[in-house]
Amino acid sequence: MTTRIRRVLIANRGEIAVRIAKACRERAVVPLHVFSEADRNALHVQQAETACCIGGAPAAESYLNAAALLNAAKQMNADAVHPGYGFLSENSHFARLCQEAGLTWIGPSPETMEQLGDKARARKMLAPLGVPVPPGFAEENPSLEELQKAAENLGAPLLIKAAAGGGGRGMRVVTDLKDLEEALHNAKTEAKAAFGDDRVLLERFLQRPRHIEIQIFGDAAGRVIALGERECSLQRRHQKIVEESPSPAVSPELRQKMSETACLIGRAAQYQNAGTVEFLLECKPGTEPAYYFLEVNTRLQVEHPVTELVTGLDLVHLQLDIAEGASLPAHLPDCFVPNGHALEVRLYAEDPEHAFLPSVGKLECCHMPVSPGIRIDSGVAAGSEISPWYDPQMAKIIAYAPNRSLAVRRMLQALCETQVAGVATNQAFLLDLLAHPEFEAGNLSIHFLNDHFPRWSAAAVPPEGALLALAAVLQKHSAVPGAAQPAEQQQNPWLYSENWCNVRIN
Amino acid sequence: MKATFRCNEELFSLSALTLPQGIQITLAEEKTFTVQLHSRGQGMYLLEWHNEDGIVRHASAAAMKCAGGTVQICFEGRNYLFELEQGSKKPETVSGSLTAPMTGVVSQILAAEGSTAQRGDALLTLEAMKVVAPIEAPFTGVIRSIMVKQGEQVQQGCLLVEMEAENDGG
Repeated sequence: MTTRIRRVLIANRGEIAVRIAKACRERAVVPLHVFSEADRNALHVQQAETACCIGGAPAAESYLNAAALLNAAKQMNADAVHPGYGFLSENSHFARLCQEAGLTWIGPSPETMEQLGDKARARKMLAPLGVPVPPGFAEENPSLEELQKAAENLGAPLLIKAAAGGGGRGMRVVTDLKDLEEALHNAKTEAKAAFGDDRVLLERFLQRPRHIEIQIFGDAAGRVIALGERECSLQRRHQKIVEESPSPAVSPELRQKMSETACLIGRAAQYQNAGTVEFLLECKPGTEPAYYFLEVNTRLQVEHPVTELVTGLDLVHLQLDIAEGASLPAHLPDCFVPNGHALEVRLYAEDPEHAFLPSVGKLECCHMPVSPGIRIDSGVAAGSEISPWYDPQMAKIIAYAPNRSLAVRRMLQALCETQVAGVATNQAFLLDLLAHPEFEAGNLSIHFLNDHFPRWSAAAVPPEGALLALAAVLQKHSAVPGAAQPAEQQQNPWLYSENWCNVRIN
Repeated sequence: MKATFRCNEELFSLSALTLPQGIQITLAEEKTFTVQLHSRGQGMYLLEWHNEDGIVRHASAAAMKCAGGTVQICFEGRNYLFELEQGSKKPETVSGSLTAPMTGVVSQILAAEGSTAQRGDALLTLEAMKVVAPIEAPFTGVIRSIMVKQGEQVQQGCLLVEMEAENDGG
């Protein structure tokens, strides 16, 4: 049965809300936005035809507030809900509430989300099907003795993970089994606080694995296809920083095997709509690379543009088609082979020189490059306020080229042309990361930053051009800082003058 | 204009003079350039100058004046913070005054006024974008006053807590 979606509530903010709204307009679907009190002037609201305030600045009062979101959906006469990523996107309870209110949920069914969202349950369901899982122990409610016995069998180093977890919370590495009891206690306390669920599982700790994920799509007819892999090994505090497709470590044979495994998982969970199956890939010299199931993300990913560029598909449109009840187009292959190379970096408002602390402020200047092969998915513009309430992600820069080396060079060029003033950004850090010889060689692992960038500081000496810019701007505005100036100009003297440059050329 | 700026612990002396053909800039009192500066709006500029070999160079830069008399220059994908070097040293901050290392929300107050805190004790926590930063006592002493409330949004550099060393005068 197909139902046409006409009005989509976008239960999110920032770049993903902007991106989903664009796809909606392209198919004459009305995007309906929501915002918190802190986001009244945010870009996604400025661009909205229809928007509704859903509560206070803390996410718990707004973007995580299911009742307020449902109320907004009703008020704005929505017929479907797109959750984006983060916030309530993987909350099966919210998905069910939307469905009960008669709204189409643009994502997998709540049952599928529940089956796959719990790591211990997913592991137990998938291992008998032949899905490779890391050697480990995931029994329900084990006693301390059982856990200790399992840990001895596995040997150190091992990993304790929260069954309900994600984002590294409730996770502990045990390098010596005598620390097991204390680590278990800490992991359980943290998991209880974060997820209200203190169940944990044990897994063998893999040495320098790579993070490889497969994008899948399923339809109501039961077909599941794989859209190739993304490598997201470059992470800091379990936050992905750089993503690319294809992975330099994945051969055509390995891609085929991993894609088949991902589709198998999708079919087992009756997966409909977009999902990502995450794997860890262990590449030891002299042996075949071995991959292990990590988890399934039951939503659109931040890094989905990378897949869009190498497959030529628009994943948000595909999500809407599937949610309307359409089947996956018959001409799409079961396992895609990426065409060309795509690379994404996340531009964060954080200060890499000060322990990556978030940087809050007003973006006085925000200039993003327009270049061949460069796509910008941005949630901010000049004048945007970066508030302390949400994720520090401002924009994503995606580079596409026929091969990896050119994609990386395009990205470096795009980062050089990006000008953001008003907050600190990780831009210089990204430049150094992508220029690192080991990155260029494609030798990645999830410990890459610890291995190669244990302490980073920006290139110390400003080049001549920067000094000339400083001197010329100060001279032009006769504005040596600290010198006496009229009060109204104290804030930013040269932003408000200079109207002569805005002459119209036509 | 003639001034010395500090950037990443290094000093740079600059002087500039507006001439009919452009802005004449001398770096470190030895290299002189004539620069054309075009504003592109929103703090962005296009620079044009000639190298010693006569080859014309173009570059774009963004410039912004920040709090505390610092100037942020964004050049070739990197941000540089320039601080005006003033002859006299800035007054030392009172050691017992703890200020906010970042703009954020006071998520928890863990100490009480009048109580004694050990060196390294977390007195309160600041939160921004899911990052929690504890504000710790720099020495053992008495909390004289807590200047902020739970849930309050504070700016970077804002005074949070005043402390007094325990063995003052002892």
